[in-house]
Amino acid sequence: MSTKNHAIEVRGLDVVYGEGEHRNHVVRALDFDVRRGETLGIVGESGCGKSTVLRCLTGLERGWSGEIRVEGSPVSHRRTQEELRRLQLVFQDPFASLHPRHRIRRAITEPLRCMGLAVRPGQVEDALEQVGLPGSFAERFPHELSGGQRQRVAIARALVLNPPILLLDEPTSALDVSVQAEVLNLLSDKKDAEALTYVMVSHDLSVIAHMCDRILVMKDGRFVDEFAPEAIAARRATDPYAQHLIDASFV
Amino acid sequence: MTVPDTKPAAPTLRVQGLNVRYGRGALKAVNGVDLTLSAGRLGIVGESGSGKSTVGRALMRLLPPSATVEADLMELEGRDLRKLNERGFRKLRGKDMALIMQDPRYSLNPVRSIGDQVAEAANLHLGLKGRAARNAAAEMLDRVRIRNVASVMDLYPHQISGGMGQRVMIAMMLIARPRLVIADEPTSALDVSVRAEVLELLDELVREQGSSLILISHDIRMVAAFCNEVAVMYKGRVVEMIQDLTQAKHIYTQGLLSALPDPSNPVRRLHVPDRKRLEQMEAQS
Ligand SMILES: Nc1ncnc2c1ncn2[C@@H]1O[C@H](COP(=O)(O)OP(=O)(O)OP(=O)(O)O)[C@@H](O)[C@H]1O
Ligand SMILES: Nc1ncnc2c1ncn2[C@@H]1O[C@H](COP(=O)(O)OP(=O)(O)OP(=O)(O)O)[C@@H](O)[C@H]1O
Ligand SMILES: [Mg+2]
Ligand SMILES: [Mg+2]
Repeated sequence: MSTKNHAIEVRGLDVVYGEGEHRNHVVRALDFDVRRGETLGIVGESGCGKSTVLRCLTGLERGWSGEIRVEGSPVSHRRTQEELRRLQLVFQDPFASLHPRHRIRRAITEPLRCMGLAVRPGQVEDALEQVGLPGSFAERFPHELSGGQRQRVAIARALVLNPPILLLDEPTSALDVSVQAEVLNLLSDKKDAEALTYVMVSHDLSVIAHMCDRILVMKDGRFVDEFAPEAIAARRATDPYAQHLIDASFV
Repeated sequence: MTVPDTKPAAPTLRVQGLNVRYGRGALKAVNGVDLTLSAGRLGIVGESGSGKSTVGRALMRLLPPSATVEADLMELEGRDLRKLNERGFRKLRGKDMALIMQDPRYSLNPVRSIGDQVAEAANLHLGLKGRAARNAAAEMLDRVRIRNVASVMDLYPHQISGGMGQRVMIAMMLIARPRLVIADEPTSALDVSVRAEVLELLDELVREQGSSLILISHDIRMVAAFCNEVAVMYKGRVVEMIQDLTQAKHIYTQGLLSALPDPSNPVRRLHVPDRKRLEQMEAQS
């Protein structure tokens, strides 16, 4: 494999849940690459396996088979701390990712402490302000924030380790359009400044078209189409399912 | 989906001067909100933290004890909600008035299977037992387009996808056929094709039973297309009521519209609302 220009390479990725009549083959022999500095979009209907793919990439999902390389090096099911640092995931469900009894300060510093890194004074406040939240939110609990505010905390937490690769699972689905614009601009600016690589899952094709260089369409655990953002504007895809997704987006 | 309901009916819900404060904070999370809803669909849009979910939870009396709620009027089909005690409210919740919460997996019980939870709703609200309750549950899950219903019923909340969780929540709420459904971001985790179907399902319920729906969402285009009327909230207040997007006059609403990414008009950075100007306007009002 020509690896140096690729942030992520995936070959023959397979995930099966359950056994017997409950057997569910969720991810089926996926091959794909993410180029360094690229934003790759993944779209597809609910339950088709998008979040599962992201969980395999970050090492949260252990039951996969196949081959995953991150920045040229193969990774296994158990990750080293450095491998974990390089790939950060912003979860689809901001509630599930924030411990209800831990203050926001603790949520944001947790990745640092896990890596044995020191917390700089003011770092938490900076991290919050970077995502457009007041620094004073550090002392609040997750239930004292609105849904969109929690999602911004989740993004701040993912950025705190300065990862070169950020996986974004529906990062703005809990946000209103004005905050969505702020968060997407923040992600674009971060990327320009630090040449980050993003993999983004979203149901909102306008968001995908705005952010991504390339878009993969997933159906029943497989990629069925690939297109450029312009295809969304032109409302033209090759695969009929991809066409259906595009058509349904612009009612 | 945009056909307005013309027949004037007695309002299902009447709210006047609703105020909510969390803790001893001087800031009101909801500040003097008035809402009137007859059979039909009312949308609430507004930015994150503007108080949309707080309005929904205040109507259901599901706010934490730290919250103080005041209202000049709060009526569901003529009944004064302010006078209802906790027992009365428990009877009302789910049966007459249901809330589909923003965080589906958080509001499902993590240690009980999906099938058990939906069947329990059928038991509670329809008085069905055993097989009959499970059948009703399966039927509703099928209506919200869950695939392989039989296997999904045996799964636990952490084993289903985000979009499936949202549909399970919707199924649980719809089983009781409530008079008023408050749906808080019911479709934010759904892909566009399923989203349209879930909205149609909600709409069907509303029409079949002449009940009412409050749709809370940040997706202003979707809400405007789906609802008869839309309340735009900004910092705890309703800043305007509109029937369609072309009527939007408030600079905040216009800001929301211009922040939407448009695939046919790509830009490097999106337009964000002019917060300084908004704050100035607020200071003046
Ligand atoms: N831990 C698990 N055990 C069993 N099945 C699982 C588990 N996690 C996910 N699944 C199943 O895998 C399938 C894919 O789930 P996944 O969360 O990847 O979907 P998704 O494409 O992200 O959907 P959505 O758009 O709704 O978030 C679903 O059928 C789900 O029920
Ligand atoms: N339990 C609480 N304690 C203190 N403040 C709270 C609590 N719950 C919500 N708030 C605050 O009240 C305000 C309104 O929150 P609410 O959840 O109603 O917003 P929302 O409009 O639903 O936002 P979103 O679109 O992000 O879900 C926010 O500023 C939030 O931080
Ligand atoms: Mg998902
Ligand atoms: Mg909310």
